[in-house]
Amino acid sequence: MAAIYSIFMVTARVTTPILLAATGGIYSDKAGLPNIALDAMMILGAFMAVYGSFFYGNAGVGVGYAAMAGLAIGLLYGLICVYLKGDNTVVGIAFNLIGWGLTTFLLPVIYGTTGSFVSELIVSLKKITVPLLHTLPIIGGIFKNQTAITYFSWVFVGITYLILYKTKPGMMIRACGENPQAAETVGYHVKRTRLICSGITGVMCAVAGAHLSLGLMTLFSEKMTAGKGFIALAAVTYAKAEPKKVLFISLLFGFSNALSNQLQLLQLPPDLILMVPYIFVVVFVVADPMFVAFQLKKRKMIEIRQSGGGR
Amino acid sequence: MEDAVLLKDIVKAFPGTVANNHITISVRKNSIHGIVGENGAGKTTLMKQLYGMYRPDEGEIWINGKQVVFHSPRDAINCRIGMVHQHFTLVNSMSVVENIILGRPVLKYGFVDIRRAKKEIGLLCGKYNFDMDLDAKVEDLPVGLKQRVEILKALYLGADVLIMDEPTAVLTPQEITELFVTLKNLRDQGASIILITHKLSEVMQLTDEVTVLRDGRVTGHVFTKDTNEQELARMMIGRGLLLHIDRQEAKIGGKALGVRNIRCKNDDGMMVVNDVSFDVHYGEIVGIAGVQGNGQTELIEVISGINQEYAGRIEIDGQEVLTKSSPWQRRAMGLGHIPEDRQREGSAPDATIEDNFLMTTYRKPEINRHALISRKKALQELEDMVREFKIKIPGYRAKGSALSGGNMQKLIFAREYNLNPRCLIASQPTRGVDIGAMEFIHSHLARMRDQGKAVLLVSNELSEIMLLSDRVLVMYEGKISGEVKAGELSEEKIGLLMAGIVQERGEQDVE
Repeated sequence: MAAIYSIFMVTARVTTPILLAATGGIYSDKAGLPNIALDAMMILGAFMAVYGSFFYGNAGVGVGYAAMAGLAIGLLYGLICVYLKGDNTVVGIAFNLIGWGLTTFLLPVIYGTTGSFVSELIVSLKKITVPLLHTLPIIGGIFKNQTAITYFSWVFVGITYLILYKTKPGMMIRACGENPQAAETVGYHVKRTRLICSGITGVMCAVAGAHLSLGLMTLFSEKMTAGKGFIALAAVTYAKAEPKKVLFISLLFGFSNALSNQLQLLQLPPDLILMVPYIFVVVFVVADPMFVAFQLKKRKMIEIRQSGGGR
Repeated sequence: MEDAVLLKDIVKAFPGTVANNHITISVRKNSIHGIVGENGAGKTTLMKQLYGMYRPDEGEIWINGKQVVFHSPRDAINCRIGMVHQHFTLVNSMSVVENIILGRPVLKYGFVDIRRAKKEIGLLCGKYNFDMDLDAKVEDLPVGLKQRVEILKALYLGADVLIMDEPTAVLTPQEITELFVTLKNLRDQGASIILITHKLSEVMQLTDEVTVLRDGRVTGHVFTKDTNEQELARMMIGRGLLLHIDRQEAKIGGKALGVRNIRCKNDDGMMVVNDVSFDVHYGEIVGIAGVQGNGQTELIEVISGINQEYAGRIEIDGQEVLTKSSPWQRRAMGLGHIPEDRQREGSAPDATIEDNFLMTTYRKPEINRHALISRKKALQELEDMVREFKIKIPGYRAKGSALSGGNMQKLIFAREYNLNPRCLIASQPTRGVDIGAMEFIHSHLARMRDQGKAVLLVSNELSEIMLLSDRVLVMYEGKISGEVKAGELSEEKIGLLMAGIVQERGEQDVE
């Protein structure tokens, strides 16, 4: 019982960065400028969060720094792709490489260390326990010892759903993504919409990064996102940017991650255990559409053959 | 009474051409005004200026007696002008309501008030007698209803001048009839409608006044009741119209294409082709008539190999075709194919004109030597084709999308004709092309037949089928409902078969 309770606690914790980055990615995707540099913005967020927290002794300032950096990077990405007509894929790859390279480069420049930066002066995010709710059996773990970012990420998926499907800006975003001409002929500004969405994506990815360096751990290390931005990207792409499906894939990752943590008790090699959640998500995201398509085709052929009956 | 729209002395030039050369048109209130002309005559360019998408180089636009200058479609919308484009500007994943209110959603506490919007649109539908499922997703609607959503969208934004750009190009005959009822109804309730088209029969049926354009100039302005198709055609193309095609006595040869018991389903699991069998012989044109959506599209997809999920047998030139044979393998056996949808299947809008031509031509042995494509030879052939077929192109390296619909169709026809297939499937070969190009394509199809080739012609235009075919098969609900030989062709008989009122296919000519 306690084990299941703690699996839920860990699930909520490790789902957060994927969920928040992917939900942020929804905006760009829906607006017609899919952002493949989620990972870059995440790691810059993680770096800036540690920077803010270390120099000001306040985790909130750290998150603020991360958000601002994310906004800047997101807008820059939008600017290059929308207004300067840069190719989305090329720009995205460049951003990803720069994201890892820049943080690795700045680590010794600012802190004089390489590999990772640990200090007692980095203040981590406060863990909040929701009164009453955390006493629920099993799922109560979701509400115990979580950062504010975790709670925010849950709320934010819901808000995103409402914005996209129930408000005018949401209609605008979807129209811009699906049929820019339709959006233009009724007087919307396609470019501006895409730029703003790119900014939102940047902020959310960076805050997701802050959760990595100030929530899950209290340090910054090279390549600490470990490809989580790409898992978020896979979630957005697989889900066709639908908030509900994004939530599902993120949870799948988080849950398998928490589960594999429990496997550590079996004394398996830790590298193997780290792989588990990634394999889970990648296999699912690839196999599911293939399976569905295969089933459809098979059923159709059987029906054609049977229903005719020959003459 | 002042005019609803007055375009005064409009000049619009693009690099290389003057699309509109001092055009003056006045559209009276409460009337349907036809603007006719061949592809490239400048109709659409003119309307895009009225809708604020282009700005005229010279000239004035007056709406209801006031001069206006439009910087964007938004300005035009605010002057109560609406436009229904040839290619719809709808968001497919959204519902009908969402699409209609897209430009100006009703809000309640910051959220879109779908319920109130539905009520408002329901009233609008009632006023104009529209029957519409407002919650349906646009992607699930047939083309005719999509167009109706476009019209509703314009009306919802308050349009009382409605520009319809070639509205019938994509519609079935019934949908066209319904559209005409709708447009007349709109006029009677006070709207002014501008109808852009090159189909003269529609102009005669629907409009009150007509302005004819040719090469960017006005070549005629008449009241519809004072004119006839011949006169309009003369103003439009500068000469009379060919009403039939000279051709030789049919010399029927061996079997070019054999189709046996074909069955297939569409994506919704409906049996759309159900046990279809027929033959096409060398030296004849076999027409497949039928109201669109009765399985013709799917049948052609099966024969050409685009859809390989079917039951039944196909023979080309006496050789059995495997179900899994690719479209290319079937082409290698002697099949040629002009696809029905030139935008999606017939061409690649983003590729150059040269590459569009090469798309099937590249396999020709003269062009493809040692697995390398000779661009020089390809360009020579393309130049020959462009000359022979009089295709108007801005340059060989220009994008396919730079071609007008009619010219793209000519290019596709030229491409397939150039491959010299022994059996050609021509699906809607003249959809959306102007009269000159239509005559040209018709005479080439007839010439192929005279040379002893087989042609399978699928068309929604009954007149086209009647003009060209030696034998007509009629499709109704996925089956061949009847066959009519050349001597017995009558529009009435085919019409009854198309409507499914008569069914007269025996087992006779199926071995």
